[in-house]
Amino acid sequence: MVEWGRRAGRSPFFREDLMSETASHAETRGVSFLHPIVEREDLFLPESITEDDRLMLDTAREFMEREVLPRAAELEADKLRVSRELLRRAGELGLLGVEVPEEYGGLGLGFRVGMLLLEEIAREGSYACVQGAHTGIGMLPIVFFGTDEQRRRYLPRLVKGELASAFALTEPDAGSDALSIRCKAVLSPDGTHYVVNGEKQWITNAGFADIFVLSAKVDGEHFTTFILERDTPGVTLGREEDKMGIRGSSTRSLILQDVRIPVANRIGEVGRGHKVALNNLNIGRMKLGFGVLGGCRALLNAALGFAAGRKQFGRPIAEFGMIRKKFAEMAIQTFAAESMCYVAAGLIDERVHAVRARPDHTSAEVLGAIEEFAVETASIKVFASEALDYVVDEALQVHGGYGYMKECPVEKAYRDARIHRVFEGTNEINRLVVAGTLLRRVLTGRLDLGPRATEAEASLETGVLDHAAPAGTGIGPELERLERLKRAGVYVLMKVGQVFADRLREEQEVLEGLADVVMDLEACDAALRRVLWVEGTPGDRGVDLYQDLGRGVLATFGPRVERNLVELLSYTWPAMEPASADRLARHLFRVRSFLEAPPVNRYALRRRIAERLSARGRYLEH
Amino acid sequence: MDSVVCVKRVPDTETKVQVGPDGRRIQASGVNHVLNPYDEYAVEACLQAREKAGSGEVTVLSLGPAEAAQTIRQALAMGADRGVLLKTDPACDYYMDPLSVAHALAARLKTMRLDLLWFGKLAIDDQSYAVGPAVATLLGLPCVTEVAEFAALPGRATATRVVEGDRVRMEVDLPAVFCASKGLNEPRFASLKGIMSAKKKPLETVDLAQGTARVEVVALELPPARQAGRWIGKGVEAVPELVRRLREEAKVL
Ligand SMILES: Cc1cc2nc3c(=O)[nH]c(=O)nc-3n(C[C@H](O)[C@H](O)[C@H](O)COP(=O)(O)OP(=O)(O)OC[C@H]3O[C@@H](n4cnc5c(N)ncnc54)[C@H](O)[C@@H]3O)c2cc1C
Repeated sequence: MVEWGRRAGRSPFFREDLMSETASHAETRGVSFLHPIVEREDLFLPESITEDDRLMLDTAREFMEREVLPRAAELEADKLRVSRELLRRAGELGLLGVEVPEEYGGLGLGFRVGMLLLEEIAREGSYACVQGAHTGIGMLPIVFFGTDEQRRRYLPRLVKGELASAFALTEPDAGSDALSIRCKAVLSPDGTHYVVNGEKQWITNAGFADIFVLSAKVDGEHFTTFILERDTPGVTLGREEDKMGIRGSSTRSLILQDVRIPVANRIGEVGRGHKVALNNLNIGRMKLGFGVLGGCRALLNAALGFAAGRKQFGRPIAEFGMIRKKFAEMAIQTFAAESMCYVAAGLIDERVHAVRARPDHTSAEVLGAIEEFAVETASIKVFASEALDYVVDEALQVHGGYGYMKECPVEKAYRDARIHRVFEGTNEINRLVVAGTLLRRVLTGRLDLGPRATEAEASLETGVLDHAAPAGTGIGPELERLERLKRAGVYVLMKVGQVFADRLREEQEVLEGLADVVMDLEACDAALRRVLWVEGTPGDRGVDLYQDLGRGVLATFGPRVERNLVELLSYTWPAMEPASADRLARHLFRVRSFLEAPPVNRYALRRRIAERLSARGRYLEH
Repeated sequence: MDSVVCVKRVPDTETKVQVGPDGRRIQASGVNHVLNPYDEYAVEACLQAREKAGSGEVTVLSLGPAEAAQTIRQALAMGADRGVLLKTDPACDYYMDPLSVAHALAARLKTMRLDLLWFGKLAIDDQSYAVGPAVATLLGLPCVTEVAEFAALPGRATATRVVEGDRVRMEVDLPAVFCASKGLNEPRFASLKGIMSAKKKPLETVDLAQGTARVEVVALELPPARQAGRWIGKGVEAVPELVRRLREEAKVL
């Protein structure tokens, strides 16, 4: 039974049991989106950022518009010099140390601000990689795992942009299977150094980095992380790779021949390096998500601007139905990805903040707080990078032949976008992370979906949802539909988990299907939370557009969830033991009818969205 | 070297403004507000003067609604030391003409110690070009408008004005009033540290008594939409027709 509570003036929903769960922020949990929506006033959203956040965004925007975008061509032509100059300038402005504690020269601000700024930084694809690799995967291992001495030695200069960093994990024979690296470290007989041999490949920033966070195996067995200084004898760089996009970022291989790394430069313990590498990626994925959002916004705005000015058949092409449909779909994708990134980042920040507030906290606890959201970070990476590819493709299409020309910024954006589905873990690997993590947590009892599953099974049995549509919201039907999708989703997740528990490895398509369900539910959940927030918060933001975007998200991703659920069940059914196969077949039918919803007038919905976007001339702003 | 810079909160030039339902004001919703761009040059000029002199304070003064505090913070984040907001009454919805604004600013400025008093040469929303010179008149201070280059010496300053066709260099005794034009300098943007420390800088708010309207806005209209261009022809042959149309249709010849 879902109980709807009340908030001042309106009547949306609080659930008592979840309320107590969020009472202490240290207990803010991952995967909360599978539960009914709990409306909260302190949601992190583009609409809820503070005035200070806004000023910081202005700084990042000015930096991009005055110093980076005008030099994009120069960055491609002379990447080593220009990258360094830009990093140094970003350091002066404070952009490189947002989350680094003040004692190491950073600003010591929360996770949110750092994420937010990435939206602006991402407007130039190459520079976004330069700064992203430096502040993210390059610097964070030292922030989280470094000794005090390592932090003091490197962080202040990294934060200022005086030193540049890179992260060297991938090898020719170890890509997705990163744990199979061959790079080998052997302790010197006198115990002062490790002697390292091996080859790293496709290392972002390699051409100008001063330090590399290097993964190697001690004695060829124990995965360990080191800080390698560039000018150590025995380090050589390969030539610059000739890439499809992000051509202003340096990508090279790194050859290590009897390189001596002092023991003091080992990060963490021997054999624990995979923790460093994998946790690093959790944050990296979130960062990638935010980065991608800036691209989506910029591209949608570029398409709106171009279409308003370009005339064919005597009319601006923005007036044609198929072009308007593109605007609406691009906005829906952007809105979904954006909502997902912000809502999750807000929750992570809350939990991390609560951990950091305790004077005796350890880095391990901070990482644990982030790891709690491993499902969210991986799903954001996948969802946002795919949204970007959708948006960039349609933005190019709106530009027609001009979009194919080098002089048009969309041409470059199109090439720059593609890498996001490949690095920071390919989208395939991240789908495995989403579904695998979730199932593992359910099977080990770490995530208790039991009551939720019972509730789901009961409502599938009866076909009744038993919740009253809350008064005062314009998205009542969408909230009900999402709750139905979630229950069906939880039900299927549990069934699939039971049936395939011991052979999930060999059931990749099942994991992929589940991951897609989970990601789409998360996107819908976040989008509707955002609409509720806007509805319930005073201010003149144009609630209609938000409501329509929320409806659009449900109308786009809801059917995809439904299709995946039916496919998953159809596959799972024959694998069930005969006794219960019957029940499952019944459920398959029930699931379908449980999810049956009145048809949505998508043409009209898209037209409304497109008209409002055209009238504003741009997508939503912060 | 103490300076005061007067700044205004104005709608962002990038927002598409729309006329509000009363037909006399712009629609407030969906409009982003920024620090008036000309005032940014003025703030930068004060910061540079303070840096060159090696001492002194930069005070930011603004007249406007409560939200203008944010505009002041923006200048504080750039590096100014303190702020004063003359807060208008939200219930007071009449148009404050430039002289009324100047009177209110001057009343406060009389109590402040200053060597330099800077304004932007105009606010991009009402473009009156008047407040700076009006304040100078009320305070009895010398005033240089349209300042494109500036250097302060102890007790004196040189300012270059760019006017149609030539540049005029002037020297003036301090204290004096200056109005910044575009290109005076390259305003710095706030570093994140600057933004954080701005929160801790003093910002005094003074409620402004409601006055009476002396000038009234009766109607606000958007300029007519630009008409699409037309091809009249190509090359020399088209010239007679072009001239005829410019004379008869556009009536510009
Ligand atoms: C421009 C660029 C910059 C990079 N920067 C860095 C950097 O700074 N530091 C660094 O360490 N690395 C970096 N990389 C490497 C990057 O992280 C890897 O390319 C990525 O992890 C994928 O590995 P791979 O290319 O070897 O592909 P492979 O692992 O060979 O994968 C090939 C295909 O098989 C799929 N696949 C692999 N395993 C599975 C599986 N178990 N199940 C299903 N499908 C699977 C993949 O999804 C992919 O579609 C960079 C790469 C590029 C292109």
